[in-house]
Amino acid sequence: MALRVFHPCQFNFADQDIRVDVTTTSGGVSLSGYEDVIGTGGGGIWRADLTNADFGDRDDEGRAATLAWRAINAAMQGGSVAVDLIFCDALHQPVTGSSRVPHSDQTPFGDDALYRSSGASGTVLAVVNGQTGGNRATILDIALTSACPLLGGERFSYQGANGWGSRAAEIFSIEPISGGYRVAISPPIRGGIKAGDALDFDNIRCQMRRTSPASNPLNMGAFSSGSISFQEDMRPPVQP
Amino acid sequence: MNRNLLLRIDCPDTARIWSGPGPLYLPADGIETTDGALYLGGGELLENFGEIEQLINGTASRLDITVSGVTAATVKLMGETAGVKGARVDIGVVEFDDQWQIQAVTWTAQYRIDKLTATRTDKRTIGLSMGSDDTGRSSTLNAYWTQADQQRRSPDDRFFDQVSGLNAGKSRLFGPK
Repeated sequence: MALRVFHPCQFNFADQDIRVDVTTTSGGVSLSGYEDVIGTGGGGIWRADLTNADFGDRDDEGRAATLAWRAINAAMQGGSVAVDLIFCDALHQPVTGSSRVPHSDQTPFGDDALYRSSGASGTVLAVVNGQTGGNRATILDIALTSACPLLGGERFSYQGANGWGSRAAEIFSIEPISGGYRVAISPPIRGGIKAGDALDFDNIRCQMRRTSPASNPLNMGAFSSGSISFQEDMRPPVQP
Repeated sequence: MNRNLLLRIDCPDTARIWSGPGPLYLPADGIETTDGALYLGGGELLENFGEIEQLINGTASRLDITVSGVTAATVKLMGETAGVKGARVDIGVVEFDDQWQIQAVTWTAQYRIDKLTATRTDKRTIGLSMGSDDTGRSSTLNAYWTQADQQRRSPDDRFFDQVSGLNAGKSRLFGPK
């Protein structure tokens, strides 16, 4: 069965904290008070804390949100089954976000929908460092067609080679090169990546699994809310 | 500075684990004979990695490593129990640059596994207990020649008079008091 998708927008979380968790350990404090810090996290993993969801009112939409929450939580089976978590953060991506335009004669489609921007289209031009097949690469040359220029801090997702599936990375440094950008990313590429691979700046997603029990209190028997935490699923993929 | 630990268990199907997430390919060196050997990410597995102590005066703490989880890496360890006892274990440190690329690999200690335990209660864990090559559970500590030993052999010899004052880190003159 295909991997399920957890879409935070569906549940209207008030707080959404998705970040790369980096572990460090202190190297000790010297006589002059200087403290050395040693990175021990191997480059970090993604973590997500989504809290205070608003499941809406006592209407069909609120009912559907509560049922969707229950269904996907049952499907995650206590956290042993991974899901693709969508980051839902178009505002901080190089896309035009929610801008939508009508036809040239100012009319919408029959169902009142408007044209949406096509978003950003990213491709790997070259893998600059890393190991065999681009595993653990942290510097990529990329080509990007997007509405906004890259500023740093954007995220993208890619398909990790060797069965690692959808993984996300965060850009922390940018250098313009001919035809695109040279970007440094965190965490390192999982599995592998190669020139020509697509980078998704529109729907960033990462394979994660639940770490906290998902609460789902019902207030007054109708108004419900929820909180949930995820961590990146780092179990080695089972090779066919 | 970035650094992680490496664990290489030389059983029939060599088990390789490092303490970070995801796969890591290691270059060949004196210990790791396969170039580009795949180390499984044990960042989410390794629970307990005791301190490594040097063998001084015939005693050193044993090293116990605990891994938990239900991943392929754990299953691999479980499947190799036949060859694990007595297997050589190398523990190393891999240093990365700021971009998390391998800079250097240093193998710091060599052990030999003598006990493997597995528990499957609320948490599935495997414990590896290992000692350095010179230690064993059955052998006694190396003994000192004491003055009494020497007196039994040569009643008038006083060479070992000061042995009782010997201690690690101290120096004593030999000869009569």
